Amino acid sequence: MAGKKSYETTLKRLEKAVETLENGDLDLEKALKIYKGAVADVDSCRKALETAELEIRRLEKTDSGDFVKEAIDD
Amino acid sequence: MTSSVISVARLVQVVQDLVEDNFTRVLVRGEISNVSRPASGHHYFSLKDDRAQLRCVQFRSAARLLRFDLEDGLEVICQGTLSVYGQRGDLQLIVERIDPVGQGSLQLAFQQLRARLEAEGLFASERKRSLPLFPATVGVVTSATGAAVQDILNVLRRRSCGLQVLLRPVAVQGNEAPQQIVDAIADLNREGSCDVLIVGRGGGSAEDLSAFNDERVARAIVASQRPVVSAVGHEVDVTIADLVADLRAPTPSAAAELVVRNRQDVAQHLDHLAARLDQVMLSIVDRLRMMLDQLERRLRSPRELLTRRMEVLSGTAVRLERAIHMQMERRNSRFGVLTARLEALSPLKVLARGYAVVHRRDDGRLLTDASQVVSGDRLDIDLARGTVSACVVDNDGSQPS
Repeated sequence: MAGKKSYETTLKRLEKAVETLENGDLDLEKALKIYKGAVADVDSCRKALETAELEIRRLEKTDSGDFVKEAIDD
Repeated sequence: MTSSVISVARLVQVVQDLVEDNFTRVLVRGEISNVSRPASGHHYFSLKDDRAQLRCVQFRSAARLLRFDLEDGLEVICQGTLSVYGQRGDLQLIVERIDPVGQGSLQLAFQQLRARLEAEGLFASERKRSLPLFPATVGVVTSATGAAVQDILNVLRRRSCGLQVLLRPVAVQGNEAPQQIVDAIADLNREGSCDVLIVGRGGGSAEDLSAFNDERVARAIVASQRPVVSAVGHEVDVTIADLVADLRAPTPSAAAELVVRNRQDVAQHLDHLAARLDQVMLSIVDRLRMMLDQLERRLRSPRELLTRRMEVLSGTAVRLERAIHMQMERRNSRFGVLTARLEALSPLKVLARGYAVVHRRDDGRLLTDASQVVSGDRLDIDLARGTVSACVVDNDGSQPS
Protein backbone atom coordinates (compact mmCIF):
# COMPACT_ATOMS: atom_id res chain seq x y z
CA MET A 1 0.00 0.00 0.00
CA ALA A 2 1.18 3.49 -0.78
CA GLY A 3 0.71 4.64 2.84
CA LYS A 4 2.97 1.96 4.17
CA LYS A 5 5.62 2.52 1.57
CA SER A 6 5.70 6.23 2.20
CA TYR A 7 5.69 5.52 5.92
CA GLU A 8 8.80 3.40 5.70
CA THR A 9 10.45 5.96 3.45
CA THR A 10 9.54 8.68 5.92
CA LEU A 11 10.93 6.68 8.83
CA LYS A 12 14.19 6.09 6.95
CA ARG A 13 14.43 9.80 6.14
CA LEU A 14 13.76 10.66 9.77
CA GLU A 15 16.50 8.32 10.98
CA LYS A 16 18.92 9.85 8.52
CA ALA A 17 18.00 13.39 9.57
CA VAL A 18 18.64 12.61 13.25
CA GLU A 19 21.98 11.06 12.37
CA THR A 20 22.96 13.99 10.18
CA LEU A 21 22.12 16.40 12.98
CA GLU A 22 24.00 14.29 15.51
CA ASN A 23 27.10 13.84 13.41
CA GLY A 24 27.24 16.92 11.25
CA ASP A 25 28.78 20.23 12.03
CA LEU A 26 25.99 22.20 10.45
CA ASP A 27 25.26 25.87 10.33
CA LEU A 28 22.10 26.92 12.08
CA GLU A 29 20.08 27.57 8.99
CA LYS A 30 20.78 24.14 7.56
CA ALA A 31 20.24 22.43 10.93
CA LEU A 32 16.93 24.19 11.40
CA LYS A 33 15.81 23.20 7.94
CA ILE A 34 16.60 19.54 8.63
CA TYR A 35 15.01 19.76 12.06
CA LYS A 36 11.83 21.24 10.66
CA GLY A 37 11.54 18.47 8.10
CA ALA A 38 12.25 15.83 10.73
CA VAL A 39 9.59 17.15 13.10
CA ALA A 40 7.07 16.97 10.27
CA ASP A 41 8.17 13.39 9.61
CA VAL A 42 7.69 12.46 13.27
CA ASP A 43 4.17 13.86 13.12
CA SER A 44 3.23 12.04 9.95
CA CYS A 45 4.64 8.75 11.28
CA ARG A 46 2.70 9.18 14.54
CA LYS A 47 -0.47 9.86 12.63
CA ALA A 48 0.06 6.76 10.51
CA LEU A 49 0.43 4.70 13.68
CA GLU A 50 -2.74 6.01 15.25
CA THR A 51 -5.08 5.22 12.42
CA ALA A 52 -8.37 3.48 12.50
CA GLU A 53 -9.73 0.23 13.74
CA LEU A 54 -9.15 -3.32 12.69
CA GLU A 55 -10.85 -4.13 9.43
CA ILE A 56 -11.52 -7.76 8.56
CA ARG A 57 -12.35 -8.99 5.10
CA ARG A 58 -12.60 -12.39 3.55
CA LEU A 59 -10.79 -13.19 0.33
CA GLU A 60 -13.01 -15.06 -2.10
CA LYS A 61 -12.32 -16.09 -5.62
CA THR A 62 -15.01 -15.90 -8.28
CA ASP A 63 -15.47 -18.52 -10.96
CA SER A 64 -13.64 -16.30 -13.41
CA GLY A 65 -10.67 -16.28 -11.06
CA ASP A 66 -11.08 -12.67 -9.87
CA PHE A 67 -10.65 -11.86 -6.22
CA VAL A 68 -13.44 -10.45 -4.11
CA LYS A 69 -12.81 -9.00 -0.69
CA GLU A 70 -15.92 -9.37 1.33
CA ALA A 71 -16.22 -7.42 4.56
CA ILE A 72 -17.09 -9.50 7.61
CA ASP A 73 -17.86 -8.45 11.12
CA ASP A 74 -15.74 -11.13 12.64
CA MET B 1 4.34 -91.67 -5.38
CA THR B 2 3.42 -91.92 -8.95
CA SER B 3 5.29 -89.42 -10.93
CA SER B 4 3.34 -87.89 -13.71
CA VAL B 5 4.73 -85.15 -15.83
CA ILE B 6 2.97 -81.81 -15.67
CA SER B 7 3.61 -78.49 -17.36
CA VAL B 8 5.46 -75.53 -15.74
CA ALA B 9 2.31 -73.53 -15.88
CA ARG B 10 0.40 -76.22 -14.12
CA LEU B 11 3.03 -76.59 -11.38
CA VAL B 12 3.27 -72.85 -10.82
CA GLN B 13 -0.51 -72.68 -10.75
CA VAL B 14 -0.63 -75.38 -8.09
CA VAL B 15 2.00 -73.60 -5.99
CA GLN B 16 0.22 -70.29 -6.50
CA ASP B 17 -3.08 -71.73 -5.30
CA LEU B 18 -1.34 -73.32 -2.35
CA VAL B 19 0.41 -70.10 -1.39
CA GLU B 20 -2.47 -67.76 -1.98
CA ASP B 21 -4.94 -69.95 -0.08
CA ASN B 22 -2.72 -70.31 2.96
CA PHE B 23 -1.00 -66.92 3.29
CA THR B 24 -3.82 -64.44 2.85
CA ARG B 25 -2.71 -62.13 5.58
CA VAL B 26 0.89 -62.17 6.66
CA LEU B 27 2.85 -59.77 8.75
CA VAL B 28 6.53 -59.91 7.98
CA ARG B 29 9.37 -57.92 9.34
CA GLY B 30 12.53 -57.07 7.45
CA GLU B 31 14.77 -54.46 5.95
CA ILE B 32 13.85 -52.72 2.73
CA SER B 33 16.26 -52.91 -0.19
CA ASN B 34 16.29 -52.38 -3.95
CA VAL B 35 13.45 -49.89 -3.88
CA SER B 36 12.04 -49.01 -7.26
CA ARG B 37 9.29 -46.48 -7.84
CA PRO B 38 8.44 -46.35 -11.53
CA ALA B 39 6.02 -43.88 -13.04
CA SER B 40 3.22 -46.42 -12.82
CA GLY B 41 2.92 -45.53 -9.13
CA HIS B 42 3.57 -49.07 -7.93
CA HIS B 43 6.39 -49.70 -5.44
CA TYR B 44 8.77 -52.57 -5.94
CA PHE B 45 11.29 -53.59 -3.32
CA SER B 46 12.81 -56.52 -1.48
CA LEU B 47 12.39 -57.31 2.16
CA LYS B 48 15.40 -59.05 3.62
CA ASP B 49 17.11 -60.21 6.76
CA ASP B 50 20.45 -62.00 7.38
CA ARG B 51 19.50 -65.15 5.65
CA ALA B 52 16.71 -64.57 3.15
CA GLN B 53 14.90 -62.07 1.03
CA LEU B 54 11.43 -61.68 -0.37
CA ARG B 55 10.25 -59.70 -3.36
CA CYS B 56 7.49 -57.25 -2.57
CA VAL B 57 5.13 -55.11 -4.59
CA GLN B 58 2.87 -52.37 -3.36
CA PHE B 59 0.31 -51.43 -5.95
CA ARG B 60 -0.53 -47.83 -6.65
CA SER B 61 -3.77 -47.78 -4.68
CA ALA B 62 -1.94 -48.83 -1.54
CA ALA B 63 1.24 -46.92 -2.36
CA ARG B 64 -0.70 -43.69 -2.51
CA LEU B 65 -1.65 -44.02 1.14
CA LEU B 66 1.93 -44.44 2.26
CA ARG B 67 2.93 -41.41 4.35
CA PHE B 68 6.68 -41.84 4.24
CA ASP B 69 9.20 -42.59 1.54
CA LEU B 70 10.47 -46.11 1.06
CA GLU B 71 14.19 -46.08 1.57
CA ASP B 72 16.79 -48.82 1.44
CA GLY B 73 17.78 -49.94 4.90
CA LEU B 74 14.47 -49.01 6.50
CA GLU B 75 13.29 -51.60 9.06
CA VAL B 76 9.58 -52.22 8.50
CA ILE B 77 6.70 -54.55 9.13
CA CYS B 78 4.78 -55.32 5.94
CA GLN B 79 1.24 -56.57 5.89
CA GLY B 80 -0.09 -58.26 2.80
CA THR B 81 -0.81 -61.44 0.96
CA LEU B 82 1.70 -63.85 -0.48
CA SER B 83 1.46 -64.54 -4.13
CA VAL B 84 3.34 -66.19 -6.92
CA TYR B 85 4.08 -64.20 -10.02
CA GLY B 86 3.40 -66.89 -12.58
CA GLN B 87 5.35 -65.57 -15.56
CA ARG B 88 8.56 -65.63 -13.56
CA GLY B 89 7.65 -68.18 -10.94
CA ASP B 90 8.60 -65.62 -8.34
CA LEU B 91 7.24 -65.62 -4.87
CA GLN B 92 6.15 -62.12 -3.91
CA LEU B 93 4.39 -60.30 -1.16
CA ILE B 94 1.62 -58.01 -2.26
CA VAL B 95 1.94 -55.31 0.36
CA GLU B 96 -1.15 -53.57 1.72
CA ARG B 97 0.46 -51.65 4.48
CA ILE B 98 3.93 -50.79 5.67
CA ASP B 99 4.76 -49.67 9.18
CA PRO B 100 8.18 -48.51 10.22
CA VAL B 101 9.64 -50.38 13.17
CA GLY B 102 10.16 -48.32 16.33
CA GLN B 103 8.25 -45.23 15.22
CA GLY B 104 5.01 -44.13 13.60
CA SER B 105 4.84 -43.57 9.91
CA LEU B 106 3.89 -39.93 10.42
CA GLN B 107 6.96 -39.43 12.50
CA LEU B 108 9.10 -41.15 9.91
CA ALA B 109 7.53 -39.16 7.10
CA PHE B 110 8.22 -36.00 9.08
CA GLN B 111 11.84 -36.92 9.56
CA GLN B 112 12.30 -37.82 5.93
CA LEU B 113 10.73 -34.63 4.64
CA ARG B 114 12.61 -32.60 7.19
CA ALA B 115 15.92 -34.13 6.11
CA ARG B 116 15.17 -33.58 2.46
CA LEU B 117 14.08 -29.96 2.78
CA GLU B 118 16.95 -29.24 5.10
CA ALA B 119 19.36 -30.63 2.50
CA GLU B 120 17.78 -28.21 0.02
CA GLY B 121 18.61 -25.39 2.39
CA LEU B 122 14.99 -24.38 2.93
CA PHE B 123 15.41 -24.02 6.69
CA ALA B 124 18.49 -21.83 6.39
CA SER B 125 18.22 -18.65 8.39
CA GLU B 126 19.66 -16.65 5.46
CA ARG B 127 16.54 -17.57 3.52
CA LYS B 128 14.24 -16.18 6.19
CA ARG B 129 12.87 -12.72 5.59
CA SER B 130 12.19 -10.26 8.35
CA LEU B 131 8.64 -9.16 8.96
CA PRO B 132 7.63 -5.76 7.60
CA LEU B 133 8.01 -2.92 10.09
CA PHE B 134 4.63 -1.57 9.35
CA PRO B 135 2.22 -4.16 7.96
CA ALA B 136 -0.99 -2.57 6.69
CA THR B 137 -2.68 -5.78 5.64
CA VAL B 138 -2.22 -9.19 7.18
CA GLY B 139 -3.32 -12.28 5.33
CA VAL B 140 -4.61 -15.11 7.50
CA VAL B 141 -4.84 -18.68 6.26
CA THR B 142 -6.69 -20.86 8.73
CA SER B 143 -10.03 -22.41 9.47
CA ALA B 144 -12.91 -19.94 9.60
CA THR B 145 -14.46 -21.83 12.48
CA GLY B 146 -11.47 -22.76 14.61
CA ALA B 147 -10.19 -21.06 17.74
CA ALA B 148 -7.08 -19.93 15.91
CA VAL B 149 -8.79 -17.24 13.85
CA GLN B 150 -10.52 -15.83 16.93
CA ASP B 151 -7.24 -15.82 18.86
CA ILE B 152 -5.52 -13.98 16.04
CA LEU B 153 -8.31 -11.42 15.62
CA ASN B 154 -8.56 -10.87 19.37
CA VAL B 155 -4.91 -9.97 19.61
CA LEU B 156 -5.06 -7.70 16.58
CA ARG B 157 -8.20 -6.03 17.88
CA ARG B 158 -6.71 -5.49 21.32
CA ARG B 159 -3.71 -3.82 19.75
CA SER B 160 -6.18 -1.75 17.72
CA CYS B 161 -3.54 -0.58 15.36
CA GLY B 162 -5.58 -0.02 12.23
CA LEU B 163 -4.68 -3.23 10.50
CA GLN B 164 -6.57 -4.77 7.66
CA VAL B 165 -7.01 -8.49 7.90
CA LEU B 166 -7.61 -10.51 4.77
CA LEU B 167 -8.91 -13.88 5.86
CA ARG B 168 -8.76 -16.85 3.56
CA PRO B 169 -10.64 -19.70 5.24
CA VAL B 170 -9.36 -23.21 4.57
CA ALA B 171 -9.79 -26.73 5.89
CA VAL B 172 -6.85 -27.28 8.23
CA GLN B 173 -7.23 -31.03 8.51
CA GLY B 174 -8.34 -33.85 6.27
CA ASN B 175 -7.33 -34.81 2.78
CA GLU B 176 -8.37 -31.50 1.26
CA ALA B 177 -6.43 -29.41 3.74
CA PRO B 178 -2.95 -29.35 2.15
CA GLN B 179 -4.17 -28.30 -1.28
CA GLN B 180 -6.50 -25.66 0.15
CA ILE B 181 -3.69 -24.20 2.20
CA VAL B 182 -1.43 -24.19 -0.85
CA ASP B 183 -4.09 -22.42 -2.93
CA ALA B 184 -4.79 -19.90 -0.18
CA ILE B 185 -1.14 -18.92 0.10
CA ALA B 186 -0.88 -18.61 -3.67
CA ASP B 187 -4.11 -16.58 -3.92
CA LEU B 188 -3.12 -14.16 -1.18
CA ASN B 189 0.18 -13.62 -2.94
CA ARG B 190 -1.51 -13.07 -6.24
CA GLU B 191 -4.10 -10.71 -4.78
CA GLY B 192 -1.13 -8.73 -3.56
CA SER B 193 -2.38 -6.45 -0.79
CA CYS B 194 -0.97 -8.46 2.12
CA ASP B 195 2.34 -7.46 3.66
CA VAL B 196 2.66 -10.63 5.69
CA LEU B 197 0.79 -13.94 6.01
CA ILE B 198 -0.13 -15.93 9.06
CA VAL B 199 -0.64 -19.61 8.24
CA GLY B 200 -1.77 -21.97 10.94
CA ARG B 201 -4.32 -23.64 13.13
CA GLY B 202 -4.99 -24.39 16.77
CA GLY B 203 -3.77 -27.42 18.65
CA GLY B 204 -4.65 -31.00 17.78
CA SER B 205 -3.27 -34.48 17.48
CA ALA B 206 -0.26 -35.24 15.32
CA GLU B 207 -2.68 -36.50 12.68
CA ASP B 208 -4.67 -33.24 12.92
CA LEU B 209 -1.55 -31.19 12.30
CA SER B 210 -0.35 -33.34 9.42
CA ALA B 211 -1.41 -30.89 6.70
CA PHE B 212 1.30 -28.59 8.03
CA ASN B 213 3.82 -31.39 7.56
CA ASP B 214 2.82 -31.76 3.94
CA GLU B 215 5.52 -31.08 1.41
CA ARG B 216 3.17 -29.12 -0.84
CA VAL B 217 2.35 -26.75 2.00
CA ALA B 218 6.02 -26.40 2.83
CA ARG B 219 6.85 -25.51 -0.76
CA ALA B 220 3.96 -23.06 -1.00
CA ILE B 221 5.32 -21.27 2.07
CA VAL B 222 8.79 -21.21 0.54
CA ALA B 223 7.37 -19.86 -2.72
CA SER B 224 5.39 -17.10 -1.01
CA GLN B 225 6.47 -13.61 -2.04
CA ARG B 226 5.30 -12.27 1.30
CA PRO B 227 6.90 -13.30 4.55
CA VAL B 228 5.00 -16.10 6.26
CA VAL B 229 4.53 -16.50 9.99
CA SER B 230 3.61 -20.06 10.88
CA ALA B 231 1.34 -20.70 13.83
CA VAL B 232 0.54 -24.35 14.23
CA GLY B 233 -0.88 -25.95 17.35
CA HIS B 234 0.83 -25.41 20.66
CA GLU B 235 4.32 -24.45 21.57
CA VAL B 236 5.57 -28.06 21.61
CA ASP B 237 4.34 -28.82 18.11
CA VAL B 238 6.98 -28.15 15.49
CA THR B 239 5.85 -28.79 11.94
CA ILE B 240 7.60 -28.60 8.58
CA ALA B 241 5.59 -25.44 7.95
CA ASP B 242 7.20 -23.97 11.07
CA LEU B 243 10.64 -24.87 9.79
CA VAL B 244 10.25 -23.26 6.38
CA ALA B 245 8.26 -20.23 7.54
CA ASP B 246 10.08 -16.91 7.81
CA LEU B 247 9.09 -16.79 11.45
CA ARG B 248 7.64 -19.49 13.65
CA ALA B 249 5.08 -18.45 16.22
CA PRO B 250 4.41 -20.94 19.00
CA THR B 251 0.66 -20.31 18.79
CA PRO B 252 -1.78 -18.36 16.60
CA SER B 253 -2.09 -15.61 19.26
CA ALA B 254 1.68 -15.34 19.36
CA ALA B 255 1.72 -15.04 15.57
CA ALA B 256 -0.58 -12.03 15.79
CA GLU B 257 1.60 -10.52 18.52
CA LEU B 258 4.70 -11.01 16.37
CA VAL B 259 3.07 -9.35 13.40
CA VAL B 260 2.11 -6.23 15.36
CA ARG B 261 5.18 -6.23 17.57
CA ASN B 262 7.09 -4.41 14.88
CA ARG B 263 4.44 -1.71 14.88
CA GLN B 264 4.91 -1.27 18.59
CA ASP B 265 8.66 -1.31 18.16
CA VAL B 266 8.21 1.34 15.51
CA ALA B 267 6.14 3.49 17.88
CA GLN B 268 8.87 3.23 20.49
CA HIS B 269 11.56 3.80 17.93
CA LEU B 270 9.68 6.88 16.79
CA ASP B 271 9.48 8.28 20.33
CA HIS B 272 13.16 7.65 20.70
CA LEU B 273 13.94 9.39 17.42
CA ALA B 274 11.79 12.37 18.38
CA ALA B 275 13.63 12.68 21.72
CA ARG B 276 17.01 12.44 20.01
CA LEU B 277 15.89 15.02 17.49
CA ASP B 278 14.95 17.57 20.17
CA GLN B 279 18.09 16.88 22.12
CA VAL B 280 20.40 17.28 19.18
CA MET B 281 18.65 20.48 18.09
CA LEU B 282 18.98 21.92 21.59
CA SER B 283 22.66 21.09 21.66
CA ILE B 284 23.16 22.66 18.25
CA VAL B 285 21.41 25.83 19.41
CA ASP B 286 23.43 25.81 22.63
CA ARG B 287 26.66 25.43 20.76
CA LEU B 288 25.77 28.23 18.38
CA ARG B 289 24.69 30.44 21.27
CA MET B 290 28.01 29.85 22.98
CA MET B 291 29.87 30.72 19.80
CA LEU B 292 27.75 33.83 19.48
CA ASP B 293 28.49 34.85 23.07
CA GLN B 294 32.17 34.41 22.44
CA LEU B 295 32.01 36.47 19.29
CA GLU B 296 29.98 39.13 21.02
CA ARG B 297 32.58 39.37 23.73
CA ARG B 298 35.24 39.86 21.11
CA LEU B 299 33.21 42.36 19.16
CA ARG B 300 33.86 46.10 20.06
CA SER B 301 30.70 47.94 19.46
CA PRO B 302 30.93 51.46 17.96
CA ARG B 303 29.49 52.79 21.20
CA GLU B 304 32.30 51.24 23.15
CA LEU B 305 34.78 52.74 20.74
CA LEU B 306 33.10 56.10 21.14
CA THR B 307 33.13 55.82 24.91
CA ARG B 308 36.77 54.95 24.83
CA ARG B 309 37.55 57.88 22.55
CA MET B 310 35.56 60.15 24.80
CA GLU B 311 37.46 58.89 27.78
CA VAL B 312 40.71 59.59 26.00
CA LEU B 313 39.40 62.99 24.98
CA SER B 314 38.24 63.99 28.41
CA GLY B 315 41.53 62.77 29.83
CA THR B 316 43.29 64.96 27.34
CA ALA B 317 41.07 67.87 28.22
CA VAL B 318 41.89 67.50 31.89
CA ARG B 319 45.56 67.34 31.10
CA LEU B 320 45.20 70.37 28.88
CA GLU B 321 43.43 72.30 31.54
CA ARG B 322 46.00 71.28 34.08
CA ALA B 323 48.77 72.24 31.68
CA ILE B 324 47.22 75.60 31.02
CA HIS B 325 46.72 76.09 34.69
CA MET B 326 50.34 75.29 35.30
CA GLN B 327 51.40 77.59 32.52
CA MET B 328 49.30 80.33 34.02
CA GLU B 329 50.81 79.71 37.41
CA ARG B 330 54.23 79.82 35.93
CA ARG B 331 53.42 83.00 34.00
CA ASN B 332 51.88 84.52 37.06
CA SER B 333 54.91 83.91 39.14
CA ARG B 334 57.17 85.28 36.38
CA PHE B 335 54.90 88.32 36.18
CA GLY B 336 55.41 88.87 39.90
CA VAL B 337 59.14 88.76 39.44
CA LEU B 338 58.99 91.12 36.48
CA THR B 339 56.66 93.45 38.32
CA ALA B 340 59.06 93.44 41.21
CA ARG B 341 61.92 94.16 38.87
CA LEU B 342 59.89 96.80 37.11
CA GLU B 343 59.00 98.33 40.38
CA ALA B 344 62.59 98.39 41.35
CA LEU B 345 63.27 100.45 38.27
CA SER B 346 60.56 103.03 39.05
CA PRO B 347 61.95 106.59 39.66
CA LEU B 348 59.84 106.74 42.70
CA LYS B 349 61.76 103.77 44.06
CA VAL B 350 65.01 105.60 43.24
CA LEU B 351 63.77 108.59 45.13
CA ALA B 352 62.83 106.28 47.97
CA ARG B 353 66.42 105.17 48.14
CA GLY B 354 67.39 108.82 48.72
CA TYR B 355 67.92 110.17 45.24
CA ALA B 356 66.21 113.42 44.23
CA VAL B 357 65.06 115.03 41.00
CA VAL B 358 66.03 118.63 40.56
CA HIS B 359 64.19 121.13 38.28
CA ARG B 360 64.97 124.76 37.54
CA ARG B 361 62.13 126.75 38.84
CA ASP B 362 61.92 129.13 35.94
CA ASP B 363 61.39 126.65 33.18
CA GLY B 364 60.93 123.41 35.08
CA ARG B 365 63.91 121.93 33.21
CA LEU B 366 65.29 118.75 34.69
CA LEU B 367 68.86 119.29 35.74
CA THR B 368 71.46 116.71 34.89
CA ASP B 369 74.51 118.95 34.55
CA ALA B 370 75.80 121.56 37.00
CA SER B 371 76.42 123.91 34.14
CA GLN B 372 72.73 124.21 33.60
CA VAL B 373 72.38 126.56 36.54
CA VAL B 374 74.04 129.71 37.79
CA SER B 375 74.16 131.10 41.24
CA GLY B 376 70.99 132.51 42.26
CA ASP B 377 68.81 130.10 40.22
CA ARG B 378 65.93 128.82 42.14
CA LEU B 379 65.50 125.09 42.13
CA ASP B 380 62.74 122.66 43.04
CA ILE B 381 63.99 119.38 44.47
CA ASP B 382 61.55 116.49 44.30
CA LEU B 383 62.10 113.96 47.08
CA ALA B 384 60.39 110.63 47.59
CA ARG B 385 57.86 112.52 49.60
CA GLY B 386 57.33 116.15 48.94
CA THR B 387 59.28 118.94 47.16
CA VAL B 388 61.83 121.33 48.63
CA SER B 389 62.68 124.74 47.14
CA ALA B 390 66.35 125.73 47.10
CA CYS B 391 68.60 128.39 45.73
CA VAL B 392 71.96 127.90 43.94
CA VAL B 393 74.54 129.50 46.11
CA ASP B 394 77.64 128.82 44.20
CA ASN B 395 78.39 127.10 40.96
CA ASP B 396 82.04 126.47 40.27
CA GLY B 397 81.84 124.47 37.22
CA SER B 398 78.89 126.29 35.68
CA GLN B 399 78.96 127.60 32.18
CA PRO B 400 76.51 130.20 31.08
CA SER B 401 73.76 128.69 28.89
